[in-house]
Amino acid sequence: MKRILVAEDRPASLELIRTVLESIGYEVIEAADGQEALEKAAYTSIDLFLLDLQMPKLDGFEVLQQLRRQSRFQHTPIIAITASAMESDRERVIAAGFTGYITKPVDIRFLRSEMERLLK
Amino acid sequence: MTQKTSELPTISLLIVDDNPGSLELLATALEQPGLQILTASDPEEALDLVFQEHPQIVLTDLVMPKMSGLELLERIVHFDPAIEVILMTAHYSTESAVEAIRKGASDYLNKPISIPALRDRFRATIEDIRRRQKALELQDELRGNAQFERIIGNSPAMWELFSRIRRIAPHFRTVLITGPTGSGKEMVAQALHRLSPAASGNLVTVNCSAVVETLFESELFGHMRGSFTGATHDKVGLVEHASGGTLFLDEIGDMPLATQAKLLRTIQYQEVLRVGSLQPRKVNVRVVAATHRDLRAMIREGKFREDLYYRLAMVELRVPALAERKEDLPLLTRHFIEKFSQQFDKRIRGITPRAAITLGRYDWPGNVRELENAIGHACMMCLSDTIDVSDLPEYLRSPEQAQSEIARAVTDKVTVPDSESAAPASLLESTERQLIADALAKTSGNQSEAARLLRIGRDALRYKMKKYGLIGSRSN
Repeated sequence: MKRILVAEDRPASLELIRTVLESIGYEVIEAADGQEALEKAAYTSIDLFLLDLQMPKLDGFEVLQQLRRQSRFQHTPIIAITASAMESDRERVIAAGFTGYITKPVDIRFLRSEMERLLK
Repeated sequence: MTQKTSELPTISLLIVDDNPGSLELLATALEQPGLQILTASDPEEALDLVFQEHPQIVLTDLVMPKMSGLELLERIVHFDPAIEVILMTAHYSTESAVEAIRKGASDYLNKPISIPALRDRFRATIEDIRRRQKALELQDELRGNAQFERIIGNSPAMWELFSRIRRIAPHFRTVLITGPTGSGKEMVAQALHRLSPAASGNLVTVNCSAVVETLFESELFGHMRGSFTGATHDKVGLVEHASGGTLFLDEIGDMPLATQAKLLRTIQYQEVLRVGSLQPRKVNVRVVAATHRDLRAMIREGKFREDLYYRLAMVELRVPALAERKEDLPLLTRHFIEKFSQQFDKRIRGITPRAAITLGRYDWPGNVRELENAIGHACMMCLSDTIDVSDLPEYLRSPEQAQSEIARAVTDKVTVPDSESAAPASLLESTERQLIADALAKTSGNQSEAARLLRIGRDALRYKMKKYGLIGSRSN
């Protein structure tokens, strides 16, 4: 079973993402902030990351950089969760090295099809 | 409003909204080739349409009089979990979205939603459904190729086994099949026989754990009249019966030591001595032995003859545990669903993704046989045409799911009319009886082991055996 780490500080969003991912058969590891995401990634194998950009302690960009420095996560899909759908933000996200992004409020259908596409 | 294209099968969509204006707007907006659109302005009417027309997609408003969209969702999922239910609401909240997804909705939309966006979404949903249908057809095709002499498998471990069977079958005199309980050792023995030059002869199966020790030799080698009390006629033994064919000795580890010595003699010299006779008779028999035990350990304990072991183990076939070939789960699951829907005369089409995941999470210590039992149980319990998590045996579900199932069962009970309330209880009982009987069969009547398999105490098992009249079926 494929394992997805979701780092998101808002419990309601985290719960929705987890429910959607589990309903299509993925195992979800939760992290409430960037620091916890890195700690959990250190001792579990993760097939895909979903990182909120604005999190306490370490934000999504910093977590991305630290993950990409580890050889085992160099080619792992890392998706940003962003609150804004502005064009400039999207460019910034892709330029930083994210594989893709999803916007809040979460589009359930898009989330599912993206995960299925990336984890096929 | 039906439109058909020549190649693609029509997909049907039911739209439910208590506002006739938006109902019409949606129906017009979503119209496209290959899509049949049904409409209902009230949830009761919608349910009737679901039962009659069996649409693949239902798009419903969340807030409606009489019945909420969530309740409608639950009733539809209960009828067929494979139907895609999409909820839309002007009162969107993350919490209500979580609840809808948990209850089985495939999407949850925030109103107002632009018509082009909705159209795109439906185009994608329809594509998904078509892709899934195609995958199912492909799997059926694949399954045709993934059978070798009635053994199902399409994993590297099984390819290896099939190739070894094919190479060994034409030439073997003795083969030892090892592998855990329920992994299908008997099917391998049958394949070896069918592919051997002795295929036209008999395949005689002896389950060594089921033969009473004192009668072993007479069963296997036959006896002469008067050789012991009760021997009123000359009797041909199973070895002679298998002459010209194959003798399959299942659970060879349970064969008494004295018999082992005589079996070795039979294999070496191809002759048998009937009990009470001094005249050896010539036979021509291939021997396939199987065991789930560690025969080397038994040799060290003095319970198995080393010389017989080396004779048998010259050619060894190891059947993998199901846990070693989990990639075969979908194929096996479909095979058993087909088998049991025929047996129970039900039309079960498949299994929901989450139920398939539940099967994948489990380690299957009882192997293919345990999977077969679990699917049999699910097919028996299944009221719709798709097996869902709630149809699976309880021990496979996570504690969390089992808990919510209990909650649902209790609420269901309140709404079930009195005249029908007897039926679920008796179904439950017959299933329980079956599971107990299966566990006893699997463990050859060993109650402690059966209780462990069933995850109940020994006393509870005895009580239930008594209740279902299963006492006395033990041979020892």
